[in-house]
Amino acid sequence: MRPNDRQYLKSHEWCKIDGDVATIGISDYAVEHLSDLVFLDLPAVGSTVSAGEPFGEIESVKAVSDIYSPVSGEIVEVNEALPDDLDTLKADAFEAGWMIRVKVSSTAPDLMDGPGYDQHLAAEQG
Amino acid sequence: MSRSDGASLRVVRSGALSPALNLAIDDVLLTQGVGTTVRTYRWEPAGLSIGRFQDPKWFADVAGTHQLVRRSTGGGAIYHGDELTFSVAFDARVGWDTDETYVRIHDAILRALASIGARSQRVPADAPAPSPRAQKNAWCFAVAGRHDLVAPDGRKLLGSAQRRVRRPRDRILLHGSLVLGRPQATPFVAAVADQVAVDEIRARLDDAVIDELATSLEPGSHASERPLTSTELAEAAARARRFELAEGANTL
Repeated sequence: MRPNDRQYLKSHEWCKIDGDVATIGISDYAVEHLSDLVFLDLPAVGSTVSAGEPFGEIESVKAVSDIYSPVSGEIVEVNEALPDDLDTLKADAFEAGWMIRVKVSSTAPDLMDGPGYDQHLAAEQG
Repeated sequence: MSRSDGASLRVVRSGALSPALNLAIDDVLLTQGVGTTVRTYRWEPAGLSIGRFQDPKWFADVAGTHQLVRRSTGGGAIYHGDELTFSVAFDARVGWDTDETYVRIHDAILRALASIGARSQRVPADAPAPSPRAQKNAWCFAVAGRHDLVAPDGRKLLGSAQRRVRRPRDRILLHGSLVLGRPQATPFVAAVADQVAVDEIRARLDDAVIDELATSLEPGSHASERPLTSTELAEAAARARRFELAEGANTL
């Protein structure tokens, strides 16, 4: 069971909204699925993200994947230490492994709650 | 479109194109393509491609006449001279995670090589991956890691990398380089020319790579050659700039 205090995209990102700020990361399933994480690229504070559009990239086993934003808005904080400590992402994808915080202007229309995301994972794994 | 409905498999033989355009075409087939495409291509002029997270400054002084480009895929730098390059772009599917995709595609290439008399073997899946941080300034072919195809002498024969996008469709691109003749810039690579006279097998190897990839990706499907459309070429031309690197620049 994934935490139900936040919402998820099918592409395995989560966002936890507190007031008008969303904390965004990727799920434990995504981390496990990517296996050997090598590089992570995150945007800078002050840049904007759009719901459903990529905001970062992550590399594992010579495979690069886009990371998509569940919300639109301006980035107010970035987990600057994370790209140099990807073990944190492996150990705690839902808390210490957060990636960016965004002042939210709108959210993606296709966000799922925790149980909905669990169902999606079951389907994706066949 | 399900995979069991006899969906056709598209084959694109691009011939020799510029490095940036080659990468842009793969990007178009990944992000705008539908179904499964197998593509073969070559490089004119020669290319030096670095992985998405590599620093171009390490490769600024490499001798030779080539265009420096940054791939959207991972891994290390490759000098693209006399080689057969292939790409596959397809909808993500259950069971084909990153590792399994390498295994299946590399085994197809292994069979294609065997058909023209070149021996290779795949490094087992439980072998360690190359040291992550060392990849920042590394040549792709310098060290063989898990899933890589190696020649009988243990040197790496196939370099490949992947990219996955999940929107608008969940799709995977894998492209790979089979070195035919060894480039001066990377004298440590294994080359098909070490085992067979490449001028006699170029066309046959091209066909074998396409056939084996088609069989692996879409068994039982009908493969048909469908060249890039003018719309796709125009889109690729517009994206090509994104892959070009001036020395020391980071344009992605």
